[in-house]
Amino acid sequence: MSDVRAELEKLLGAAGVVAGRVVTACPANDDEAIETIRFAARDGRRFVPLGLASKPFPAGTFDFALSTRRIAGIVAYEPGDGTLSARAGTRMADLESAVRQSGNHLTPRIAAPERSTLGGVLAAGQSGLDRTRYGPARHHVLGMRVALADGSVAKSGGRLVKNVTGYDMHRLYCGSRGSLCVILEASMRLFAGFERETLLTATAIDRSRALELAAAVESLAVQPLAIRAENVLDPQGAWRVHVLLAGRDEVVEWGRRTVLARVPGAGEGVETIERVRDAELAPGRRPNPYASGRRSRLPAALARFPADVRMIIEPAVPIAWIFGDEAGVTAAEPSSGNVVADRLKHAFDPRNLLPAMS
Amino acid sequence: MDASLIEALRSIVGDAGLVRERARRIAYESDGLAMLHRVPDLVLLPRNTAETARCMRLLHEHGVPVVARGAGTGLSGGATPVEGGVVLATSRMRDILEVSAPDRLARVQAGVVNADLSVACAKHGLFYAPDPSSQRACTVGGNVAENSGGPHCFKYGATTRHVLGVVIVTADGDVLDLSEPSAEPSGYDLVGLFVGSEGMFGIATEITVALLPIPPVVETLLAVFPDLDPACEAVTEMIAARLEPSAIEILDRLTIEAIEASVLAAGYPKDAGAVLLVEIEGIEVEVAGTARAVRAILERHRPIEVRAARGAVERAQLWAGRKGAFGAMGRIAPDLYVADVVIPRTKLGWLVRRATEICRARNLRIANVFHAGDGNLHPNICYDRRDADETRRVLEAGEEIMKLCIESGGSLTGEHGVGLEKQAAMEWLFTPSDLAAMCRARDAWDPARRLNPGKLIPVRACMETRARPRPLEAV
Repeated sequence: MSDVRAELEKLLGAAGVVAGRVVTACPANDDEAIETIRFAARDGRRFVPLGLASKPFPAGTFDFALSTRRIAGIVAYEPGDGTLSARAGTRMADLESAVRQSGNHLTPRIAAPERSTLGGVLAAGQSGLDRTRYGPARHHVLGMRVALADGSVAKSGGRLVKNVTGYDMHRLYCGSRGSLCVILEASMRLFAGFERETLLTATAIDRSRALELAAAVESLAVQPLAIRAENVLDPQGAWRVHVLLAGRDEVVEWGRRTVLARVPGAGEGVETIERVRDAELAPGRRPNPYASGRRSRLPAALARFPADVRMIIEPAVPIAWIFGDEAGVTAAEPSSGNVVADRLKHAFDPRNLLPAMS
Repeated sequence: MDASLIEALRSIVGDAGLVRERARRIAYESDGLAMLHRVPDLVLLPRNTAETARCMRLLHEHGVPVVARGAGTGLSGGATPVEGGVVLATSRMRDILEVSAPDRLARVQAGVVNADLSVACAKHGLFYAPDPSSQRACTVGGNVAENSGGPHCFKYGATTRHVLGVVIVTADGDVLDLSEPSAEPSGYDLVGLFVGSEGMFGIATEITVALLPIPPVVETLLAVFPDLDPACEAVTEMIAARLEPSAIEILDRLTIEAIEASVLAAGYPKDAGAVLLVEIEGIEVEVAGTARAVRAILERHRPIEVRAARGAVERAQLWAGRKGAFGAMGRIAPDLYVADVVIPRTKLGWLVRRATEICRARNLRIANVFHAGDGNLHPNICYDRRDADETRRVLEAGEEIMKLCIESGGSLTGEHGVGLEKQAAMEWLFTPSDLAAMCRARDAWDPARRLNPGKLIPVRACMETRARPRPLEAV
């Protein structure tokens, strides 16, 4: 079998191939990406689709990685329609700044937008700090164009906020972690941008009190962008409950006054918004141990962990991150439906050129 | 159909769960798209997941095609029976299994009527957001199959955003329990893929849905315009200003006349060229701010009148008119072709004008009622199905409107689904390679292609050599 790097350089030129532990192909456009995939299909080469490689490399043996980082740029942005289409390799930071200028908000607001691409974020099924209000990003993907493992190209959906023409294939591709396809382009629904963002913080003596405070905030109808309880930043082990308000000025102001009046100990300026964003990147983050979408079961599920375990909890989602002691963390139960999942994998990647669904 | 198979099915669902007499089977010959119809060979009415699974296993063993059906309110022929097949209707699966206020979710059997669910949740201060106009009849299971919308989708999103889990009986009679919600799916988002699959991936028997807190303040504004153009322009301007009301609806003159002449009379001014309904929900300060901004835009477009609903009764009346619009049309024409196109919201006025011209050129009457905020138009073309030539002209006009939408970045269907009606048109929008990817997904769920065969996917696209041409008794 010929040298992969040499073969890729023939296709993409020296500028399109990056050496490393694994050779990375960086096609400059869709056509080059498709040629690269066809080469892999022809020679039976296994490859890992990725953006900026910010996620752990999947288990298994691969001949090369295919990065979409150079397939970048906004394809269409209609501020008046609240829709955006961009190529997969566009950095989230670039998209955020483009839409912010025209008064729109792009979800998910992830922790490191300068180190993440749109395609990577969607393939990873990542949600953002704004998940309390907007839910997972896959709810707001309007359409996609992807390259399949045989080099064919398939689109689904469109650039329309409402559309039921054909199956929602992009829902399948979201969170498929490179196991089914390479995302080339995605269209997103945008929301109204925020005139103002305000962070309020209350402290609590322990986890259960923090969860009570979070529930109290949720009952106030202030609709925060995020409600987060954490003990991560506090060496003394005290808990903080962050409430991030965002929206029109008058609505944020009403929310601010309501929270300050009704939540004991809440104050302003304790933390900055940026600090809250960075918490998602804290080292030692473990997978979400809490697989249920039922918030009522959250306190009992977390009670399995000792009181001093570091945690970040967003109870309204509900989701929790556990830090430190790995032994106490059980991975989420794999969902049932494996027969259909296996058949989907086989239908889209019969020769197993792409990573397994992790 | 094989008599021993029928007896085996009867032993599962009982006499009440099996419809054999032709006179009763006729009730299932079509859905809301009445121009396409076929009397099914047999109708099954299982009561739960277990009965459905046992029926499906038998039908699988005998290779019998299955068409799932909720209330039959669909408008694209998704529930039209197929040759040699049974209709499996969910009308005896009507139990609300759980309403959990702390978890803000409900679990229901597939045959629960959409509106009944919101009624059941109201005492907890919660509601189920998707609200198709047929919500007093349509079922949650049908909504899942079609990924249904409704006026309030503008703010809350269509059904897919509210479905947390599904119990699915697969084509071969296995039960796939995906009912427990998960904030982050650990595998493929099978639930997300399943919603909107038009009965071709499996039969949903139980559905877990998200509930939302009933908003504390609701304001409904009614703006009356001399014609459609300024109403459409006002909507485009609201979207561009990133205002987020919960619903933005437009009705035109012919629709208003029909409603006002019916029992659903909502007090819309009869001489109006267009009525624009805007509903704003949320906390007081938010509603007040949005209402102020909306009013300012409305005023700029020179309305004849802008008024706010005085209280819940008047609000309900204004909505009863909108939601009853399709029923009321019966007064002005024997039949109604309900188109369901979507376009970018910057092009609303343009498309409405073009659709009107297309109909006028064919001597057809058009009544517009639509979810303007979503860019989802329903040009309703009046006709009489007994008039073959008029029917032909209606279908021609419908096609031309769809093609126009595609050319301007739009799509074939916003909420009614593809079904039989728009199956051929899928090839205008999607390439063979796009459709092949859909076929891969379908084959993963139903390798034998026995569930709702001949729907959604154009016949050639999946190389469905076994499929026959449209299995229909002609108009």
